[in-house]
Parts: sequence; C-alpha cells; structure tokens
Amino acid sequence: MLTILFCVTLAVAFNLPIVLRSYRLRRFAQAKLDIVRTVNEMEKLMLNGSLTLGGVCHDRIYQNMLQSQYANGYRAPWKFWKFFTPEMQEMQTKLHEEMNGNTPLAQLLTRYGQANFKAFRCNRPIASFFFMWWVLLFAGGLTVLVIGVLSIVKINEAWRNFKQRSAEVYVASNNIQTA
Amino acid sequence: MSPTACAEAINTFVQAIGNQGAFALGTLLGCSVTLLMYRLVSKNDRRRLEIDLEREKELRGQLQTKDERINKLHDQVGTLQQSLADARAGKKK
Repeated sequence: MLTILFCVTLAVAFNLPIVLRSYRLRRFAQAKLDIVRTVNEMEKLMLNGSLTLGGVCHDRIYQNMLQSQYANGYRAPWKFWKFFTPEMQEMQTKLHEEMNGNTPLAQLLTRYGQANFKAFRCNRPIASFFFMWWVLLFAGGLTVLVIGVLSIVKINEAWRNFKQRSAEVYVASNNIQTA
Repeated sequence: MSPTACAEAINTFVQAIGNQGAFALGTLLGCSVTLLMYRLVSKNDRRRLEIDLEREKELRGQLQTKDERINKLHDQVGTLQQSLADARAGKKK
C-alpha cells in the first residue's frame, strides 16, 4: 500500500508545480488582456472627447496604463508611504472629482486597478502575498494583523475587501511613482 | 459499501498482488496521474494562446483608435490654422 501511495505522491509532486505554473501563466495572460481592454476603452473616451488634455486621467493615468500594458514584469511598491506627498494627494483629489462626474470612467478605472493587481499577483505570487500582509500591517497595525489571523468568521468578505484595498494602494503607488 | 469494508478490500487486494504487483500498480497509477496533469497543462497552454491572440486583436483595434484620434487632431489643427489665416487676412484688410 505504501509503495502505491509513494508512486502516486511522487507523480503528483513532480507534476503539480508544472500544472500550477501553467495555470498562473494563463491567469497572467488574462490579466494582461483585461488591461489592454481597459486601455482601449480609455482611448475611445479620449476619441469622443470625454477626457481632454489637462485632466489627470489624460495626462497621468493614461500614461501609467500604457506602461502597464506594455510591461513584462510588475514590482511591489514596498515603501509606498514615501509617495504620499501633498502634491500627490491633490492629484488624487482631482482624480476623484473626475471620476465622480463620470460613471463609465470610474468603472473603467476600477476594472483597470483590479486587472493591474491581478497581473502583479500572477507575475510575482510570493511577493504579492507578503505585500498584502505588509499593507495590512500599515493599514491597521499589529492588533489588526493578529485579529485578521485569528478571525475565521466573515473571512471571505474580509479577504475581498483586503484585496480591493491592496489593489487601490498598488495602483495609487504606481501612479505616484511614474508621475 | 462502507469505507472500512473498502479499505479492507483494498488491503486484501494489495496483499494478494504482493510487493512487485504493488510497485507495478503504483507505476501505472503514477503514469495515469502524469497523463492527467499533462492534459491539464495542455488545456491551460491552449487557452493562454487563445488569450494572447485575443490580446493581439485588441492591440490592433487600439492602433486603429489611435489613428482616428490622430486624424481628428489633424483636422482640428487644420481648422485652427485656417481660422488663424482668415483672422490675419481680415486684420490686413
């Protein structure tokens, strides 16, 4: 019995990393496709005049989206607190103003943020795991970290909110970094 | 059939086939698992190729949109130049 189990375990152990890698590459390709689709929609908004020169979306966000579209690798902004200067806060405020008046734009940027973060997670899965805990540590401190670890009730909802928050921080840091 | 009965049946079968039989069966099962995983990887790779082709299509569409934007801007620049020329001609008169 042990021999049979050993043979099956060996086969699984040898092939499982290959399967997981192919699955991760497929999800990475899907994330990059989603990014390209959001950039296409952004181009159409600029073509029909919804976004004009001088706005934050046209001048800054669109350039970041193009960079993200053509990137082969994605990095984690570990020292994200360095980029929250008053100028960048003002840029964020202007961006929120533009998004408030334009629902399709807001939805588009949300989808872009999610696709961008998904691409980062698929490109660097281990780094993204530690990055999310890093963000949680700074978002709430050690107490929240411990509660998060011990909590098993509503873990799905908490995980979804946490991913959303990490995606927002990641996109904001990338926007600030390249601005 | 209860799990205990299943386990006993499997145990009896393994004892019947002996060590060499168990090794042969294990190799067969290992090869089946490898084949299954190979099919999974092939499926993922095929899907990834489809996604890449779709991405290329979207990028081509994006180039077309960029061309349309460039043409629109050219037209706007042409109109502005024309109105500027008209304004200058009007001033000279």
